[in-house]
Amino acid sequence: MSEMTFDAERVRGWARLTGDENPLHLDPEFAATTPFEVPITHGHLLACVALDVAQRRDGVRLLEGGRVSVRFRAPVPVGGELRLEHREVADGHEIHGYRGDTDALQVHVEPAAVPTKEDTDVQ
Amino acid sequence: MTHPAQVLALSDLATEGSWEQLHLEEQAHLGYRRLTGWDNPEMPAGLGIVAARRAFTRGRPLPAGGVLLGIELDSRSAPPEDGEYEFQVDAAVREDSSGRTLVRVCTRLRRPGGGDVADVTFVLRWPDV
Repeated sequence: MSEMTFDAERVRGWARLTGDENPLHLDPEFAATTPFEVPITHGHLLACVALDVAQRRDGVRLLEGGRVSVRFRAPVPVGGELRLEHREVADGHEIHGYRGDTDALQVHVEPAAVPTKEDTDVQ
Repeated sequence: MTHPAQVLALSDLATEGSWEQLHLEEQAHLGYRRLTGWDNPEMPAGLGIVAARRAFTRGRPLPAGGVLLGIELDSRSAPPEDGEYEFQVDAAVREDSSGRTLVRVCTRLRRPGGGDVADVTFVLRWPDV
């Protein structure tokens, strides 16, 4: 469906944009002291990239009444690549983000319902 | 008054029902597009996530060791092009089965004077401090 590489420049830019300058994302020496061992990409950056994919599909049905739930399954290291795949589900659709074969990100999207003819008919 | 260098505490999160102001500068919108690749003319819903994070942190760093577990977004309308928001923050704190602190930080965003934009909830494992 789509892929993106989260290089250090992108991650640094996102840190400045959001104010999230946690050294876990930016400092290899600090990251080496954590369970992650290497700098990891901000989860909210991954979420926004997936959300953009959903909005391209759903448009105003996402913007006006859409519900999105993001779960982070595994970290994406800085310099790593995320591959996004789309699936239809009963109450909407899902976007899964894979780092290699690892399910790193799960995004559940419930777009707003499309108004029926009965909803829009003038009484 | 906020102190940008002071680490955010749990007790700092909620606005206790008050609406506060947030301005997301034009560079933030342009930066979002550049960093995520969003190239549609519509305002990106994800900008609400950026606004919500800036809102609940008020420019202060979170304590080291926390983990973002999830994000929930209820979008009501497109983020405002002028970057002007009002926000409210509520926080719910509980312990998980292992005794670790879990926090749901919900930021409600609206345009000044009304017009809901989004509710954004960050689910965080808060570090022991």
